[in-house]
Amino acid sequence: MASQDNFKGAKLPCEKLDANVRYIHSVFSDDDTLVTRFLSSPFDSALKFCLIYANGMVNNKLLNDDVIRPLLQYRFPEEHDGLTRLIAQNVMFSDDVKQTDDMEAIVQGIVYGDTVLLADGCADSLVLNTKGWNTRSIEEPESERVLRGPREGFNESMLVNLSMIRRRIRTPDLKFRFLTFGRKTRTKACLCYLDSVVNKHVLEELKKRLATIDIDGTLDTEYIMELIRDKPYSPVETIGSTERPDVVAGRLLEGRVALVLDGTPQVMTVPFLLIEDFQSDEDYCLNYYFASLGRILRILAFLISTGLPAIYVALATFHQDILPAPLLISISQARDGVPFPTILEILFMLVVFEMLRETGARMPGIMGQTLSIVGALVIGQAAVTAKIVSAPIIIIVGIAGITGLMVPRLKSFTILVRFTMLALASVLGLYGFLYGRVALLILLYGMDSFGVPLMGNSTEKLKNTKDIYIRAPWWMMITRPKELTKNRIRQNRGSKKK
Amino acid sequence: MRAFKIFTAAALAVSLVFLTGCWDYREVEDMYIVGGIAIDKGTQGHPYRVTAEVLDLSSGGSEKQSPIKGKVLESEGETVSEAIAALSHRANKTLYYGDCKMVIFSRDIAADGLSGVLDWMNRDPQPRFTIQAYVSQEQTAGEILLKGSPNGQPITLLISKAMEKAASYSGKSQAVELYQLDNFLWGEGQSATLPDIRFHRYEDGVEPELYGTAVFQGDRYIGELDDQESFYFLFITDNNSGGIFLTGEKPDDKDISLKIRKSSTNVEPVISGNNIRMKIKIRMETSYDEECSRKNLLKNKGIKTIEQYAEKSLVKRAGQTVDTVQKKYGSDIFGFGRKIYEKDPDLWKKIKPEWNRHFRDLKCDISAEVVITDTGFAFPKGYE
Repeated sequence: MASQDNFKGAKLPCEKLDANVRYIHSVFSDDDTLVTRFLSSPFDSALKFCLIYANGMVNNKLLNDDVIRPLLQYRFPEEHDGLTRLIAQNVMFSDDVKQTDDMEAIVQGIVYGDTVLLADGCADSLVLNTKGWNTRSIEEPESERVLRGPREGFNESMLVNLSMIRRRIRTPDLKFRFLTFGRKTRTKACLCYLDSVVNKHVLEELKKRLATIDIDGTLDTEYIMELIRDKPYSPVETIGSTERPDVVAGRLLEGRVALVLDGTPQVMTVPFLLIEDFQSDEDYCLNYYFASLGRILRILAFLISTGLPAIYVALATFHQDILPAPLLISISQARDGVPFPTILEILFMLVVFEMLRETGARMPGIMGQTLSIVGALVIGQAAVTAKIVSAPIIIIVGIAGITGLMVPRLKSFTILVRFTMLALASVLGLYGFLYGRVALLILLYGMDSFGVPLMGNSTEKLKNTKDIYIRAPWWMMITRPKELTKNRIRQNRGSKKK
Repeated sequence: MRAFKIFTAAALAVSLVFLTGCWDYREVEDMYIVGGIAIDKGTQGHPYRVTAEVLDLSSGGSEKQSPIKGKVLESEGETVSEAIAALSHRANKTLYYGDCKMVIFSRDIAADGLSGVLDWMNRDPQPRFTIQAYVSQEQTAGEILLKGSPNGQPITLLISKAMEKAASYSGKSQAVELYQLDNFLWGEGQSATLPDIRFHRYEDGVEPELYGTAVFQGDRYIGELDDQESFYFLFITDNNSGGIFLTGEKPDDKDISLKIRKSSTNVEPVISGNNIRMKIKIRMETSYDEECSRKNLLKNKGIKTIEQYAEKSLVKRAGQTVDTVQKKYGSDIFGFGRKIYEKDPDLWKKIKPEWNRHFRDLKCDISAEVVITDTGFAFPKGYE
């Protein structure tokens, strides 16, 4: 009994208060947070009640003022049809009162901060909304900071998160559908979409895949993303994820579906286009020239970060003929006395860089900064002086590292591609590099996200790429992205000032 | 089936690595970068001696990068290729010719004919077609590399840098790259020329400089043009890229220096029956750079007149150069034959066997147009 999760079909056993309380206690055996409070009406001591709730999950003031106080002050009439119904209708100040004898509802209510009220002589109970726990305040998400634009970020409470989305899109067209994941965790989740804009195929596909999830717990959207994504082995994400309500709202308006999961600020959106990783949240809040420049730089940074070490190794060890003489001479001079082959040098420094980055990321605040700066200076400078690596390697690794962090959401993929390219270039030279690039393109263009190509319409005519390589001015983006929705009219007419 | 697919893919990927046939991994420090080579006749019983200057990039263990030093290697062989291979053997490192800037021929090697010597350079994948070729006016070609460097710096880098600029400063030398030399040797109607390199002698040493032009007949070296003749030779072949042109009231006067801004030459054969004349039109834009006489020609005569003086001088001196080459060498280094070939290939076929004789008697009509675009001086009041 104690380990049971599922109470489907189970009912309160009888009308006797003691028996019912004992039954609930047996369900929550060895749970000391469970509070059981017996009451009886001062006007009629035959009327006995019991409140059961989980300590810490309820708002105690609410419970005292709106549940216990009215219950003790109410003068119960002699005649009534069903005590619980009377209480629900006439006594409780609580906003949400469910009358039920279903054990599933009772148990779920208790673990989610509701208070269960049992009355002697009634075979059913009242589940009262007394939820009240502390949540993190609404802050700007660390990983998606902006200089200009809204600064609200999601927190761990789903309802708060939904309110932030709703406040941005105030229309009944915005649908919220609740779901529950996790046999043990019973995590609440909510599908959000704009009914008239959403691509119905995507929505159906998402619902179908979500229905197949059978796991004991989902503590973050990543659990769900990995369970339902298109290519389970692929290193590229096919589902978007963000902590910013304005980003979710923007994506909903383009016809995507969002899944808000209770307990995490990460909200996932589908379908996903790879370019979303290059679209900074700030792009839409900045002047479009700067936004476009930033986006082009980010795409360039990805190419440099994944390719530069490989190109260097290819040129320095296979294709010296391509290097201009002065560069060849200076590389050759720097290499003089270094005992390792170029590929080992660069691998060594890349791994050191990744270690520094990881250490810096995990260290608390100021310590992390100090560590990474000292680490980089000491290791970089000393390694060159000691002739363990040559100076150009430090530059190459430095550039690759910095540009790799320009697209933070693709970070892990960038590292993976960088090392693959490097391996190919170190055995095959430029030929291997090109081979790797082609393989990458084939991989990316072969991928789908919920039936939508991952690369979107990036190869289509310019008209359809207004928000891909650049961020076109708003007056120019008259339609929604073609691949995401059939309802494409965003603006009825371009509202550019004539 | 799945295992088979994975195996196939892996096998294909591996064969991509090993079946491409272009595995040429080499670390930069395992090779010597060759800056230039010089080819002489052998002195130890071999027909060829190759001297190569390699760039010595080792820092000798110090932390700071030391300046690049040159290091000269020599070896001999039955063929150029054998001598080159012996160089690698001597150096204990791969020699890398991808950045070889120049090849210097000694006069005796050049006089025996270049085509055999050039074969290795044309055939081997490493030396580029843009290698510059020179003829040494010293005893051997190797000594340019051996003694040339003023302070241990690689002489080949100095020369190639100087060559880039020299042409536009003096207008008396013109780099000839390997592919151009090939075109002279195996193309139609123009004899080869190469810039000369010699030592400029100081009291306490020598420094290489470019002076004059080596003239070839076929692939054999037959003589020299001095630097004045080289200047007008480059004018006629439309290769002038600067320099100072001296002129005066009489064609041989040197009162006025005109700085050449731009010049272009148009050579056109005029064919009437069996009679061929070359029409050479030189156009030159100059600025009035200096007048070192007290005649005050510019003020007294005006720009138009001085332009006419210059035209006369140019026609006369260019004519003399053509004349000298015709009389002395009889080798068509101006490419008149090529112009005929371009205009009338059939006629060229007919006269080609006899072209050397025709060239000696070829009449040239030289005309010049000189423009002075600026006089470059703000006159103070009362300037005479």
